[in-house]
Amino acid sequence: MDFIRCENMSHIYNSGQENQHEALKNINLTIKSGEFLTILGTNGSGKSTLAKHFNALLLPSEGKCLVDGMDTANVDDTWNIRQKIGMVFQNPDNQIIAAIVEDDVAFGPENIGMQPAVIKEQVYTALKAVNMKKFRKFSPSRLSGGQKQRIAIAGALAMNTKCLVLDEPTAMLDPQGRLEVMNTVKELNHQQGITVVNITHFMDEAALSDRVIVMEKGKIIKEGTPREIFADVKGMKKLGLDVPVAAEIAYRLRDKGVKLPKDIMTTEDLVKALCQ
Amino acid sequence: MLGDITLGQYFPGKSILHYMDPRVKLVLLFIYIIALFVFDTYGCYAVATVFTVALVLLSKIPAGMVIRSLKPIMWLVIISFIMHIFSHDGEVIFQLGAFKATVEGIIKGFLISLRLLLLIIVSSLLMFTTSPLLLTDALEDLLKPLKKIGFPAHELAMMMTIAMRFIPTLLEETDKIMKAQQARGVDFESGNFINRAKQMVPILVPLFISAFRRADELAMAMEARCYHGGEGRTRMKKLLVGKLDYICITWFIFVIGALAGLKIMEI
Amino acid sequence: MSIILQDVTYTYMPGTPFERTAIENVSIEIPSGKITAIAGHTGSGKSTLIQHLSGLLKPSNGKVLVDDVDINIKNNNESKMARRQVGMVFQYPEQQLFEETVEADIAFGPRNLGLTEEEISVRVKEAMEFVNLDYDTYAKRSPFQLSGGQMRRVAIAGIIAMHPKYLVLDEPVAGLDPRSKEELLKRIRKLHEKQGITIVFISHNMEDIANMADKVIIMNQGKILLEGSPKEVFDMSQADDILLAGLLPPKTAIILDELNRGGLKVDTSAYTVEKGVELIYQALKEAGKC
Repeated sequence: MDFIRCENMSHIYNSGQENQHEALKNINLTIKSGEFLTILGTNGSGKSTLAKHFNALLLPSEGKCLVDGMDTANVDDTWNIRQKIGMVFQNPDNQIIAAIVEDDVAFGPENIGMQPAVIKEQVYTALKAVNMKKFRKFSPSRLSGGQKQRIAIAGALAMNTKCLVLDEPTAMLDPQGRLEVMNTVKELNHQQGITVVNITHFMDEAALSDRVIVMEKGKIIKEGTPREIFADVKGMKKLGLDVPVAAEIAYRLRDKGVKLPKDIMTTEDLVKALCQ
Repeated sequence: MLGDITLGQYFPGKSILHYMDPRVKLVLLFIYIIALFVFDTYGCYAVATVFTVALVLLSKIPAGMVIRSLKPIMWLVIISFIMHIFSHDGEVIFQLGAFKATVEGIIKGFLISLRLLLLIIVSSLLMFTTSPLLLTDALEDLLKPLKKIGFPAHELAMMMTIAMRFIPTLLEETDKIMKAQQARGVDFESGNFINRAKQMVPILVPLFISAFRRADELAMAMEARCYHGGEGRTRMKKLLVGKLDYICITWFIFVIGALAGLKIMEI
Repeated sequence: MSIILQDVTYTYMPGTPFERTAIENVSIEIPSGKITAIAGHTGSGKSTLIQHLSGLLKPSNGKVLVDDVDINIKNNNESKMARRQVGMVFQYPEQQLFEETVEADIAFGPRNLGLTEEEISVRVKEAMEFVNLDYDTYAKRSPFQLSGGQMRRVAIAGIIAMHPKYLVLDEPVAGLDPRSKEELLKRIRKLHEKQGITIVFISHNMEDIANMADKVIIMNQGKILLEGSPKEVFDMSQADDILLAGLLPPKTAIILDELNRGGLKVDTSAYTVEKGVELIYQALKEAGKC
């Protein structure tokens, strides 16, 4: 089932003014329920602008964006859409509102008017799902970046979100924090069937997903499974992007005349291909 | 540098005062302060002093911390004491030029100072025993009736909540920016006043830019989490006035009654 | 010539309930003319450590020597001059920009050093060239209209223009996209090669460290966990220590190790992609697989 559908969607910032800028050009994209999609692209390619359309933080200048059948341009559905689509942003410090973890997770449910008893249950379940139960009475300032991002994810889960849109959630984290966050996201995707849209610069995160789209200058220029995308090492580098190390090593070995399949992406792939 | 500043005075503990409903505490404090001003006989002062000391003991807050909280206003107390010594007619003890120190003045000054000290002690007890978060919740709840005349009670409370959440973050940031500019040769420790004021520009400009950026991102994050003002918003934690509060209120009424009685009998 | 830390301990907010020892008895040497990388997870003490290199934090215990001069002597000119040898670029340095134009912002540091206007203008131009910002295009622009990567380069230029002998950078490429990251690292390496500036940088990315550093220091819980050349530190026999410190060994090293386990006899001494490819190719040849 299509969960998010963009039809001929464009977005123009400062329309009609001198500094008018077309950030998205004619985007056509469908995201299926339960899918794990990665968006790659250099800074300024329109990734964040696109993501903000998914929960009506931005509205298309042209075209349409449909979420679970609801048009984001329809004001009556704005809160329904935002409840279904949870967003996590890059800077963990700038999205935590309350000074106690459990109060912060409760913020969303409170906004949509859930009953106190229900909120308590939701907060408990959400914190458990991101493995942060024992920190519920903590002040966020005492948590690591990875823990803060998991709190932000819990904040979305507590609203019964169906889809997580993550805008470079790991950009400011250390390797440990990145691992924590990505493991949590993967688990939610696999076990609870939550749709995930992840924007990232880390290619090994992209390798975890079902599908990758690559953006440049406001357009989707490539689309495919991670293996298909990372097979084109040269093309990715030309776009100012990267590929996983195993893919790059395979590419360079092929260049030297070693016969290797084109779709090597992970260390396991490479070991399997070289050690048979 | 700025790391030594801690936020608020909250001192976590498990006393009756900690467990009381914050709204009840706020209202009782308000009444008690009025009572301190209205009931001003010697007997009243004696009872109020005993009651206040009893509250300190009840709160289990170390006496040293309570005394430390008096430090900032100590000068105010001393100055008002001295002014009172010289500003009442009565039996002159000694004279400094045109100013006459009187026995009545000393007594009056002592009582006024005592009243001021009691006032500060009970107010800081509220701060010591109530987390800032509960305090904002209590304030929002108490101000709710004023919403009808257009008073933005929810907005005010939300602002306070966010301010409390971001003060540590901004302090950290200030520290970082100061160090970064120090690394570029700014010397905060020397120079005259104008020079020092000038050196604030490289700190304030980045700090403001960052604060605005944070505000922007926070607003976006709040919107993404369905925030649309106080309307239709529920709360996870409901403040509840319980048995303990009723007991405390009863005791409090007795104390106020005693104060009123002493005042009427002019003891 | 080098920066030497002798038994340095630093405690935040001593004597309060919030007391926390960030680094404990750390002794290291930052060799002059080399690139030294410091890695460790958040809270391992690496940021506290590097703030000692330029005297921004004064050790609670121990000494910091820059070219044999103790930099923490009060009201001592020699000590002050030694501190000035060390330029410090903080994490997300673009957040410290404040002037109206790029030129003015870069000139801020040199001006504080008391240089003449001519000298300042020469240094600004030279620093902009080093970070690959065209003077005519960018000098008069507001730094706040630039892209994130460009703003960061302006901030770094502001420190370079102070002509430090040692340049310390705290996670210089954090948050940049792969293209800007590549570009900035290239510039830093060039600065090192052309000007002979000693570089110290913090990074989480072992690939970047493997590609750049002559010396690697890995910190954990306020102490030095591993120290040595990349070859020594990235030896897979120490992989568990690196993982324990919340970091990942360079991917290439992991891949070579896995290949060996899988049965391909390959030399595992490489940690960069280039060298790794070479070694695998050799191993394949020897095994007669190509």
